[in-house]
Amino acid sequence: MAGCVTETVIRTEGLRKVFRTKTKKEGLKGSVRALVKPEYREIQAVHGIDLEVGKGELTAFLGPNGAGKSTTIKMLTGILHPTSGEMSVLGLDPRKQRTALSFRIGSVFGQKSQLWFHLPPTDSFRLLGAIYELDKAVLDKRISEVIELFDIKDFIDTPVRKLSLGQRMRCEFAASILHRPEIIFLDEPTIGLDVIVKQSIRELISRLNKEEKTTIFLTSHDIGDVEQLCSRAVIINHGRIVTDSSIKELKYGYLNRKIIDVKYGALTDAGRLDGLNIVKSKGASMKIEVDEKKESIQEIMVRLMQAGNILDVTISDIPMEKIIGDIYRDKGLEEPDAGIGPKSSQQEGKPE
Amino acid sequence: MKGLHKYLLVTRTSIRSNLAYTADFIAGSFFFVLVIFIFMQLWQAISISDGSTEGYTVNRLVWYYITAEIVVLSKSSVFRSMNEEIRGGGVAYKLNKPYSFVMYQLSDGIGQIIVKLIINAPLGLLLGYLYVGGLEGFRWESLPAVILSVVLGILLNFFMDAFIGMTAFWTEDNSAFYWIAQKLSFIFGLLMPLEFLPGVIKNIAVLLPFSYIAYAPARLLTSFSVGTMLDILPVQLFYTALFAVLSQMLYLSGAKKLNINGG
Ligand SMILES: Nc1ncnc2c1ncn2[C@@H]1O[C@H](COP(=O)(O)OP(=O)(O)OP(=O)(O)O)[C@@H](O)[C@H]1O
Ligand SMILES: [Mg+2]
Repeated sequence: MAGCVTETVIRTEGLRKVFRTKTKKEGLKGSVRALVKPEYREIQAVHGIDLEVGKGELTAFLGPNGAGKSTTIKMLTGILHPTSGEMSVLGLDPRKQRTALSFRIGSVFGQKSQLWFHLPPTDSFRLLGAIYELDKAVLDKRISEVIELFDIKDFIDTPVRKLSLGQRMRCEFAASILHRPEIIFLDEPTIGLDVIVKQSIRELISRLNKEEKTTIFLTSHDIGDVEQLCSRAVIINHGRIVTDSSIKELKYGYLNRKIIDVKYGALTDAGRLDGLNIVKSKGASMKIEVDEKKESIQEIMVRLMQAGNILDVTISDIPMEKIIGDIYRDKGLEEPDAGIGPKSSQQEGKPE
Repeated sequence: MKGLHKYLLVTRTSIRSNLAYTADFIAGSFFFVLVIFIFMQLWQAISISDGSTEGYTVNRLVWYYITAEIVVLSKSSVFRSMNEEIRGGGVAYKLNKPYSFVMYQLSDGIGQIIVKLIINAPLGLLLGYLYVGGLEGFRWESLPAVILSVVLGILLNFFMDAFIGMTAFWTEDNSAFYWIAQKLSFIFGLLMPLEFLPGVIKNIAVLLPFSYIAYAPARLLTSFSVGTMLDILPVQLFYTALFAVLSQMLYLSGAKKLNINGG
C-alpha cells in the first residue's frame, strides 16, 4: 500500500475534469436553436481525485462504465488537461511536459494497436525504437530482452495480420515497453479477450512488474484482473474514489462471492436447494450467490447436480456494481444517482 | 539527427507496408492504364475534328495528360486516414508519443506516394512513348524544374488533403469539402489544360491553388520556357508552404481542443 517508504511516482490532488457538451433538442427547431444559441451540459467525469502511487506498485483503478477511469489515465498521460487540481507524474507536469514525459512512460489503450498490420512485429519495434530515439545497439539488446520476457520469438517475423489475438497482444505489450518506461498505463488491457488470452495478458503484466520493476497502473472493470494481479485497488464511481485499499482487504470483504447461473432441464429434487442464497429465479433458471468464506463452490455444485438435470451452468465473479453498492452500504453512505456526482461534502479517503 | 531519423524510418516502414498490398497495386496500375488510354482516345478524336487546340498538338496533349495523371494518381490516403484517426479518437493516443503528428503523417504519406510513383511513372512514360513517341521539343535541361514541379504538385495535394482532413476536429462531415476540392482540382488541370478554359475562368484558375497540383507540372513539361518556369514554380512553392503551415496550425488548434474537450 501507499504507506510504505517508497518513492512516489504518481501524485494527484483534487484532480477534476468537467466536459462540456452541446445539447440539442429534438427536431428542426432544436437544430436551429443549437446553432444560434447553443446550450451546454456539463459532465463531471472526474470529481476530485487524490492519489499517490509508489514506485513499483501494481495498482488497479476499478469502476463501472463511465466512472472516469479512462479520463483519469488520459490526464495522467498528458492527453487531456484537467479542469482543476494538481498532478505530477515522475516529477513532471503531464500538461506542460508531455513530450519529456512520453519518453519515460508507456501506455496500452484497450485494443488500439501500435503495430503495423501488414508487417511483422520486428518492423514496428525498429520504428518505435527510432521514435523513442534509442541507439541501434541499445535497441537490438532491448528487442532480444522483450522477446525473452514475453516469449514471442516464434512469431516475431510473421506479419501482424496473421497472428492470433493473443500473439498480437503479446507483441503489442512488447512494443509498448521497448523504451523501458518507468510507469506503464494500461486502459482495459483485457477487455474483449477470451479467458485464455486474458490469462496470458495477466501473466505478462505481472512478469513486467516483477522482473523490470515497472510501476503499473491499470484500469479495468474485470474483478479477475485485480484479484490475480494487483496489490492495491482503487475503486472509483462517478468520478470519486469510493475505496482505496489493499487487495487482501478487498478480497476478504467483497470479492469472496461468486454467482452461479444454472439452468435445469428438469428439477427433480428441489429440496436439495434449501438454504442456498437464490437471488433470482425464473422458471427452471436461477442465479445463486455463493459466499466462499462460508460455503464451498464444490459442495454447492454437487448439490445443484443432485437437484436435477442441469442443461447449462456458469460461474462468475459478482459484478462491480454490486461490490460498489455494498461498499457504500458498509460505509453508511448514500449511493449517488447515475450521472450526477454526490452533493455531500464527506471526503471519501483512504481507509487507514 | 535522431529527430529526422525517426521520420525517415516511418517512410521506409510505410513503403514496406504498402508493398504488401499487392492486390491494390495491380488494380491501381490497371486503372491508370485504362484512364490514360481513354483520355488519349478522347483527345485524339477532338483534335482531329477541330484543328485548334490552343497550341497543344496531340503529342503534347498526351504528354500533358500523362504528367497530370501521374501526379494526381500518386496521392496518399491522408484525408481518409486523418478522418479516421480524428473521428475514431485515435489521434488522442498519438499526442503522448514523441513525434510530430503532421510530420508522421507526411512521412507515412510519402511512403505511399513513393510506392505509387514507382508503378505509375514508368508505366505512364511507357504508355506515352508507345502511343505518340517522345515529347516534341523536349529539352533535357527542363527536367530538374519539371521534377521539382511534380514533387511540389504532389506535396501540395498532400497538404491540401491534410488540411481538409484536419477539419474533422470541428465538423462531423467534412467529406463535402473534400469532394469540392477534388472536383476543382479535376476541372482546373486534370480534365484539360487551363488554356482550353474560357478567358475569365482561366484567369481565375491560375490564381487558385488547385491548378498547382496537376496543371503546373504538366504545363511546365509540355511548354517549357524559363518564363513559364518563373510563372509557375514560385506560386507552386508558395501554395505548398502555405498549406503545410495551415495544416500544422489547424492540427495544433485541434489538439488543444482535444486537450480540453476530449475525443
Ligand atoms: N470527450 C468527452 N466528452 C464528453 N463527455 C465525456 C468525454 N469523455 C468521457 N466523457 C464522459 O465522462 C464520463 C467518464 O468517462 P470515462 O471514459 O473516463 O469512463 P470509464 O471509467 O473509462 O468508463 P468505461 O469503463 O466505459 O471505459 C462518462 O460519463 C463519459 O460519458
Ligand atoms: Mg474507459
